[in-house]
Amino acid sequence: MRALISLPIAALLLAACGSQPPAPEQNPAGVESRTPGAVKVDTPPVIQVKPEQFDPGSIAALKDPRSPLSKRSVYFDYDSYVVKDEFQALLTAHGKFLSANPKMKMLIQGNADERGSREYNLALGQKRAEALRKALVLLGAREDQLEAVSLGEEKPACSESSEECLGKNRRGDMLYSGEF
Amino acid sequence: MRLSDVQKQAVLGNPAYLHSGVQLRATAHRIADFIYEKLTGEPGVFSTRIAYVVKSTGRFELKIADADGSNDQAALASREPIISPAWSPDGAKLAYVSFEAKKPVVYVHDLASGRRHVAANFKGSNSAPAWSPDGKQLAVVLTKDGSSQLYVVNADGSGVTRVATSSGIDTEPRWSPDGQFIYFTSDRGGSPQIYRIPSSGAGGGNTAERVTFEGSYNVTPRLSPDGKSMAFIARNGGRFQLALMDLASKQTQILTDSTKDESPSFAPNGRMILYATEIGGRGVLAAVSSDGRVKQKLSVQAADVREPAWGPLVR
Repeated sequence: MRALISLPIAALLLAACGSQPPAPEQNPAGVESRTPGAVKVDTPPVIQVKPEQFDPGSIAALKDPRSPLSKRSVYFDYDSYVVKDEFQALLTAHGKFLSANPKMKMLIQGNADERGSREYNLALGQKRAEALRKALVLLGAREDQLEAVSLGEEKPACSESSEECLGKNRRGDMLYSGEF
Repeated sequence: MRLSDVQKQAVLGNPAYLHSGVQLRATAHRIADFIYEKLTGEPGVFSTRIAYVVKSTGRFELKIADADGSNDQAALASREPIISPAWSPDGAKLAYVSFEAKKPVVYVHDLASGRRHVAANFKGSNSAPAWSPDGKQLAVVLTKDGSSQLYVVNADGSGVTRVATSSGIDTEPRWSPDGQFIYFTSDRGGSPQIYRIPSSGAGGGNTAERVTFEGSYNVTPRLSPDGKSMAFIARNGGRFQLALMDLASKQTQILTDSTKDESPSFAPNGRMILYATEIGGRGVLAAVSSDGRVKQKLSVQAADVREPAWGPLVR
């Protein structure tokens, strides 16, 4: 019990055990320094995938606040996994981008609000991530570009108990290669 | 140490304990266990340990402590969440879910050596580990084939087989102490309820049998060590409360008056149930006797404490 696994060792274990190969030249320190609970769209991390693999114009669009591709979050109603109409245009843009950049991978993280069991909420978050994954496949992405996972209630974007705040936590986030 | 029955003028026992100064607490716990067992005929739990997760700013720690909450030590520290710790039946290992890979992955952690290995890391999410009574297998929830479904893997991560199939969510598996059934939470009937399925899995006429019927949200089944009752979390008018069901009569009793109870865990002699709840917006651990009469709050640090798991008896 004296052996306390420090973060660098944990990172090494991860590198050894992860099923998801790390993106080329991924900088683990950069990823780790992200504050927990931060909304990922607010702090778009630097894309570190080799630029020549992708269309440079569209890569830039991922970070361009004027592009729909810079938006990465889809919000859901209480106890619902239905993708609302207002997010169709956003998903269409990401579906097209994935189709045009077949080497690009995406990690879809589903989230749930804090009410109820942690493991059940993990399953609810997975349902939301799955809904986004299925929509993106219909919009042109390939299955092997996408992984749908859940963070359950563990990474709230907002930590008050107001209804507005809980709504921000019922969401799916889309992260590209190099961002996760 | 000598224990005597004064009325009968009989010696109940006089065990000897060798210890150094640092083991004083441990020795006192062993003496308390000896007395408890002599007087009640049941094993005491004073020498057992508990595991739980502490969240502080930007940091999660999986901790092991004495059953009374003191003498805590960290088994794992991470910037990413840790949930669902589960003790192996021999008390040597913990299985848990860690999000350090930006997704949930199930690990098995050997407490003596601090070494650990991945037990389930498939595409999608991996969660809710539960040990088989013989300690050889883990029931886990995987999403590799779609939504959250039940599987069994060997503790070393090999040999994954599916146990149940539904079109919705199946999660929170827990073996019955005799190993015959796996209890779990499922929304297959429209709302989350507790079901059980023979641990040999679906097929061959085996089907899931619904266990809870009252209310629209019953989750997190935990079987008592004698297999006769089941602790779970029930939602009553927006309050999430610890409930106990007698499995033979299906009679259910709400054991708490709090509103955000989670993660019940039986003491290995079945007399107490440890659970997580919230006081003043902060996560704390509390314990209640299985008859609901005695409640106690465990020592609280200046942090969020959650996900308790009571370890097995020390022999």
